[in-house]
Amino acid sequence: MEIKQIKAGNVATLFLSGRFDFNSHRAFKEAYSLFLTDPEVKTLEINLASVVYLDSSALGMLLMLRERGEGANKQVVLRNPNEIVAQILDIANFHKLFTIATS
Amino acid sequence: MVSGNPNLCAVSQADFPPEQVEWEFCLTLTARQLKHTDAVALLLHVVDQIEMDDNKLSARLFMVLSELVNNALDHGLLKLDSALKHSRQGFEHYFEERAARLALLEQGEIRLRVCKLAGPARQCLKIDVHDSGGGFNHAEMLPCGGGEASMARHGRGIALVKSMSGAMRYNGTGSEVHVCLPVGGVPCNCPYGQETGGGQFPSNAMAGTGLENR
Repeated sequence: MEIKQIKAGNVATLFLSGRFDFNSHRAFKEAYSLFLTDPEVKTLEINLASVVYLDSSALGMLLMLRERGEGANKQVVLRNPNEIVAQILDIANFHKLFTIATS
Repeated sequence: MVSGNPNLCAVSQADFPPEQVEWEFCLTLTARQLKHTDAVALLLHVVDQIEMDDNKLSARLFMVLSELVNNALDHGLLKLDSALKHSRQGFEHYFEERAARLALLEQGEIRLRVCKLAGPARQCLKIDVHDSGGGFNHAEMLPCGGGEASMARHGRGIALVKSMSGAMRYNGTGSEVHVCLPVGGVPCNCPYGQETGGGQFPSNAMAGTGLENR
């Protein structure tokens, strides 16, 4: 998985692409850790538009991020999942835990 | 038999009339290859080449293969306990432990079979995964570890596979799992699901999987 980080104002975005599974756990954690300790950042957005493949370990990592985000007083938003990824998020009831935004 | 060589594709207990099998392949990986081979990517690549027209199939198949292969490896061969995921650093700890155990793995194999059944009434992929590690308690893999059901730290994978597939069944010890994945948006009614009593899982039903809202 490739991860691009962009910070604009108080929103930090991680653009993920490719395959989001346990192989990405270290890179993913490293990518969001800096933002969690950045006092300017209020919202952490995970842009899923280019994630083609996703499995349950990715869901686990997102939950972990949500928990850590709560601890650091930051909102975590998931943006633009493709159809299948959205279906997986839906089955896992993630719409109850995250703001899932489309634009 | 589907295959001319029963030993080659002996993963499945359920066989089909040969005329229904459009294509099939089997792959067995032993400890040495499991250390460095990305079996999921390998299988996915093969299926993507064969089923080029169906781009949604690829993402669904990835999810299914990833869960089944990782469960067989993590719990069947490496004997990792999902309870490791429960602590605050649990997820990272789990992955580190996995890497450490995989590096030390000397024995064991995972056998995989994927075939496509196609006939007038059905189209589906049948995916069989078998591990030589004596299996694992798949019933214990259902979600737990979080206050709310959907916050569970593990068990989400099996529940996901169940709701994305037509039928899923483990054998008694958990060392073999069979999944039927409908193709082309047509609900599958293949004899595999019926014969095994694996159950038909409604497409959006978490009922009975432990992930339903409580």
